[in-house]
Amino acid sequence: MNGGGWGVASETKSLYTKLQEIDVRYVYLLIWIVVSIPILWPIGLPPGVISEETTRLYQYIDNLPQRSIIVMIDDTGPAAAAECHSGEIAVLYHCMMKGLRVLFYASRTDAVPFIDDAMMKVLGKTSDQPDYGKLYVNLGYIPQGEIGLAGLAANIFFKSVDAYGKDTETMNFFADLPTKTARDWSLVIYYGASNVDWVVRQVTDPYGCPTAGGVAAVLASRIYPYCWDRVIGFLTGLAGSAQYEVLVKRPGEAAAGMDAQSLGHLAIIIMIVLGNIGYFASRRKIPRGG
Amino acid sequence: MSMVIKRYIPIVILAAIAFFMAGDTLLLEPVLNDLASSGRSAVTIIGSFAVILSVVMLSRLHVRRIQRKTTVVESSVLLTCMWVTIIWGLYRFAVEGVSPAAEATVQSIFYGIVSPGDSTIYSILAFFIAAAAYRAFRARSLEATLLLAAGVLVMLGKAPIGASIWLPLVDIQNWIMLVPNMAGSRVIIMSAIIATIALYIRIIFGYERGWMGRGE
Repeated sequence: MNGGGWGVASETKSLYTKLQEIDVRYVYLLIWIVVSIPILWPIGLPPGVISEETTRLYQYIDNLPQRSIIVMIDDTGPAAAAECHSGEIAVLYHCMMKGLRVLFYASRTDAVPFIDDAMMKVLGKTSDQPDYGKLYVNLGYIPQGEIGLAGLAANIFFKSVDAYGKDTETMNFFADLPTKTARDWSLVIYYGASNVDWVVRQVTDPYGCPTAGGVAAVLASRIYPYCWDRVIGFLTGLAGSAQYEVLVKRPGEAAAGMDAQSLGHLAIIIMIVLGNIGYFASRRKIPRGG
Repeated sequence: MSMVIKRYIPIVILAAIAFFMAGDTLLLEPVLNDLASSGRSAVTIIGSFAVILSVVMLSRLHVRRIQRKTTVVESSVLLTCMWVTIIWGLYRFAVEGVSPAAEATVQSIFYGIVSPGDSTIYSILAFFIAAAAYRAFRARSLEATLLLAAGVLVMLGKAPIGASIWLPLVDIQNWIMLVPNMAGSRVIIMSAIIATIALYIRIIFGYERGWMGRGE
């Protein structure tokens, strides 16, 4: 006898119980399918509505006068870059079209290559680009996150050489800056999966230069408290990057990923709904007081 | 004397630097501001040396692991990759003057190995999040139901497909993020900042000594 002499009730699970206990491997398989297929074969779902935070950032940059200075802080490791880097490329493209000056720096070592990558994809070259030193400067890695930014905000020549070993003090980029501090900047944009509060603390509050962001979606909820007087707009994850690509009419990797994101979100919601249907239906079957 | 050196001198140095930096924030005094700027430079330089220190510590740790035959393959791969990258980058910089930021081989290693590896590990989270959401998101109580509803609405509203399903989803999502989320987040941020200020005051006046490494 099964159970070594003990009577074991052969319990057949109801459909509702099964709905709550689907093997996670099937969940993994579902996610894999709904994310992979649209990436390999785009299905062209509608692009959706452009969010207020993306529109505000676009309008702010679009209204800046020529040669205004935008500082881009790269805090993206390869993990966060999947969400944020496309947005950085789209914003850089917008800056290039508007003739704005862009000062890049990386606040973590593994973010350095992404600056080069953005410059290559938008400008075609990096330090040998004709406008390098006039409209674009890459300072490379500045250690110590917030302290590094505080130093740069207080003195634009905080780092005396750029990422390629060139002397920054002789560059045309900085020649006409009146204060050589963050007061000369028009906008500082943070890209990464940390928070923007340290940027607000070191640049916006003391110098009045507004902050923006291109951040991982999971971080967005921590930026809203600073909207819209400190943070004038931001890109929320891949969707925000895709929206900016649409606004600058240069669809890229982010826009291509929107089908996968839509179907991925939908699949997760369907799984949650199924689990809850099973939960409520099985609860209803339990007799009162039982 | 030993107690004075170990306990009081670090507190005095810390308090002096804290007041000095606070003065830099509050006062427009060129000498003070320049000194503070130099102080910040010093911290970033020390930070750069910390990278060297971390390379040394990591090497020591993994050499020890290889000697003890605990993780021979993993540690060997890590040490080989790290030192080949460092030596090649330094060689190209020292001999040929190529900046590490523009060094082709180092960039190839980054784009070919580091970037896809890190992205892959991060993307695996999607599977865990999906499975966790399916298993844990049950409307068991009023609070859980509110969380579930907010999560589903924000998820749908944020994805491009949300607007196609039902256009007001976008507005609802916006309202959730800009009203309840903003209010809650502001409370958390303000509480954390007040607590941080209190902690710093305790550190500056020597009531909090854990940072000195003796657990006091």
